[in-house]
Amino acid sequence: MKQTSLYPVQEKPIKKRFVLISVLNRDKYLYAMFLPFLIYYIIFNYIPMTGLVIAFKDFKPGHGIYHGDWVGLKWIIQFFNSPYAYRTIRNTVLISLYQLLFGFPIPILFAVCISEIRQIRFKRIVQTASYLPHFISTVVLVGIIMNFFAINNGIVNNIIEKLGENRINFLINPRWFRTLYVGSGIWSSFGFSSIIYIAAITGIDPSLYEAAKIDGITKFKQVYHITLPMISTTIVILFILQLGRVMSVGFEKVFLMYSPAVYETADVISTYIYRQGIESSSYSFASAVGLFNSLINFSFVYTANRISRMTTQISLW
Amino acid sequence: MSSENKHGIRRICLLLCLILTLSLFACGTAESTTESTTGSTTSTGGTTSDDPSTPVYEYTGSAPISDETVTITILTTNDASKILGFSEMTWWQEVLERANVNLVMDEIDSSSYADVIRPRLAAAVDLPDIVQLSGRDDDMSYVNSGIFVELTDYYDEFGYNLTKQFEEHTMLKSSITTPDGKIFYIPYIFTTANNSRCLMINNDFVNSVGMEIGQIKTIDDYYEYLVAVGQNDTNNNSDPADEVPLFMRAGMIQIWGMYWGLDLVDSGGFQREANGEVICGYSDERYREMLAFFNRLYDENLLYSEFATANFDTQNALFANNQVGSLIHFVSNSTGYSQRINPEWDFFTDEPIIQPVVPLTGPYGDQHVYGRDALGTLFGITRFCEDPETVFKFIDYLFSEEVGELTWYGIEGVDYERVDGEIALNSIYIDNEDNYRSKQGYNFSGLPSYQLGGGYMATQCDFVRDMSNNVLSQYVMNPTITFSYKLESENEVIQAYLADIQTYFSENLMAFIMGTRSLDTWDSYISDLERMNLSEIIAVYQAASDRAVANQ
Repeated sequence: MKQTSLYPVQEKPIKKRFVLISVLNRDKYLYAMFLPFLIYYIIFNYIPMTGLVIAFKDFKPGHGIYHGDWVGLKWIIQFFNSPYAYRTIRNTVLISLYQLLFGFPIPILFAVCISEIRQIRFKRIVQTASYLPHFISTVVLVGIIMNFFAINNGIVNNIIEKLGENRINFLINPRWFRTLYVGSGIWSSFGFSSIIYIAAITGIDPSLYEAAKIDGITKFKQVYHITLPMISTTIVILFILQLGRVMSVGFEKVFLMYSPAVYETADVISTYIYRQGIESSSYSFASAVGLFNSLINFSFVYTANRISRMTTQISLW
Repeated sequence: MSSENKHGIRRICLLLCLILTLSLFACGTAESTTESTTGSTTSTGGTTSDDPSTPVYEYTGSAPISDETVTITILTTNDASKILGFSEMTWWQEVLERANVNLVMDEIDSSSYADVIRPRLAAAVDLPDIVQLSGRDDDMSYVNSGIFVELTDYYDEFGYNLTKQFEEHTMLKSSITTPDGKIFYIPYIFTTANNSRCLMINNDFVNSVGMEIGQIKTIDDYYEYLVAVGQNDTNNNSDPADEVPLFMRAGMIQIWGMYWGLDLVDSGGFQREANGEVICGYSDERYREMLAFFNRLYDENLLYSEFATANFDTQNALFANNQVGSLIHFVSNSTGYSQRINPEWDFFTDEPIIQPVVPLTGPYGDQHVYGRDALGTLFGITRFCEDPETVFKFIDYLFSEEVGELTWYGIEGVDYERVDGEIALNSIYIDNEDNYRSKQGYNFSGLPSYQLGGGYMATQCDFVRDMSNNVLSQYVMNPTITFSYKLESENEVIQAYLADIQTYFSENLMAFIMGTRSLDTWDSYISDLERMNLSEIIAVYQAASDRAVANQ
């Protein structure tokens, strides 16, 4: 007589390999579309990472990046021994923090304002006009800044003079550099950056606003209690990503805008690397400082992600 | 969704994947252009024959370099002044024709050459026969890496024309010789006596303020001229505030050091005094006096207020509006500035509006115009070259008198005639219609060659040519410390400290002139330089200069 068990028979667990194969087979076309980008990132981002080894070597051109003597942290120590290490780090952090402080909220506020516009035609015109500056190249943008803020014939100084004040030499006064840099960056990017927030706001359930109207709360409170909380996930994620760029002030724009007269506030890590490392063909030094830069950025992102996960349960990973 | 639709979507997805994947492997666009220019149509050949009974062609310094056409490849800059492609430059094609060379030129735009060439040399893969360097390989990293072939023996055996150049420019050979006595590069050679950097004054402005150019002899006289220009509507356009008494771009300020006996330009601020001691001009008391002078000019609006950010476009716009009272620049630019101010200015009959003047006498009696280091860019023969001997012969030929005349005066019978042994330029050369000379290759520096001093001045009006050759040439101050290679230990000192010190020099130059840093803090400035190990840098330059003088 066949004895039956009183307990449910455990099915034999399906081997993970077969689960993986079935998932791959089920979504094969999606993975096939993803494949080129995976190859791209492996070839152009992950494989070149091995070249970071020159940050710890005394790299000589022509010998290859895997040859040369090991020098350990020599280049990092040389960077910190430089009288300009503190200044470049300070300028980099300050410019990034100003961009974060002033540049991060503006697209959010602009998106909120845009979403409140009822006239569709006007809304589209404003939106389009706002993100057109994003497509102006850095060189053209800096050229515009140089022309507008020139002391002799710049339109800004012409207006200042008409108002009865003295002309200001914006371009060679260190006090104005960060303002010009951050301000022009905000002007060129706030419209394009607001697109993602506009999309997030568009996805909010309208019934929440209807309920709020019924309860009689003001427009401002609607924004504060409904709009902002509903897009908080987007805000937090973009904030974390922005933190990952704190130590990476863009080289091109600073390089085009700065001169020895404004080094005090304009000289950042990337421009210092360019002068000390690239112009002198000291690639090991440039790599070492660049690696240091990236590690600091990563630590910011990691910390911000952890804090965000602990406090808001929203995180990148 | 029907199965047919599903299949269609799948096919579209797969096609998209294929396109995206293939795009990853598509070749990137090349920044360079490659031109092949042929001296003759015969095939590539060498200079020697396998048959021992066939006489071997012997190069003796003149064309041709070989009895068979030789193909040579070169990576170089396209030279900012070039209007046509190299293959269309008649004068240079004539050079290749005579040399029996097929030159394959890989040209990079000069504005991005440095950024392109450095990584290519760092990778050292598939380089052509000849490469133009960006910079001078100061720390000999390329030399030590073996990218370039040693040329010492080639200089001794085949350097017929280069040797003559070294006799004329006595410091040049020691500049390109390594501490252990080897040579790896061939220089482009600048003329040093004919195209000096001098003070040029707007003659119309001088007349407008009731002065004469001959009255402006000292720094104090010059200051009075600047004040007069600043206070009057010297260009008569009803705007008395638009004149720029002294125009400068960043980088021009240092040239003024010559009036205080300082060389702040080509040697990075280091100079060898008459007693053999090397000093740093940026820490000298005379430099402080020079800064005080310019600070005064800046405060009184006599110095162009945007000098820190001015560029060529700014300069051209100011000349077009006749706003410039004076500037220091290459004397050869005098006629160009005059033409920009007044397109009707007659090159053959009128005196230039922007005139070079007899050098001012400085506070210490220095009366100079600034020459230059003869050493220009460097070219090297790479280890990938299969026949470096033949390539070197071609390069040596480019330094011959024949090539000099051909590339600066043109073709005899077309561009000039020889009258009693002297060169008489024809109208096609002088008139220079539609940039004729530039199109032929005049002043092309993308190949190892040299500036012919007489040829450089040939394009100038009589006034400028006479001034340069007969007056200014007496006052030429060339750099006392020319480029030289240093020992590895010296290079480590340079690499560790020099870039920071140069940053300190340049930002404090601006700060002192604009007044954002007071000259009362001079002692602090000197202390900071000492803390930045300036004395070690000076010691390195002293040792290198002593070696260069000994090897002269």
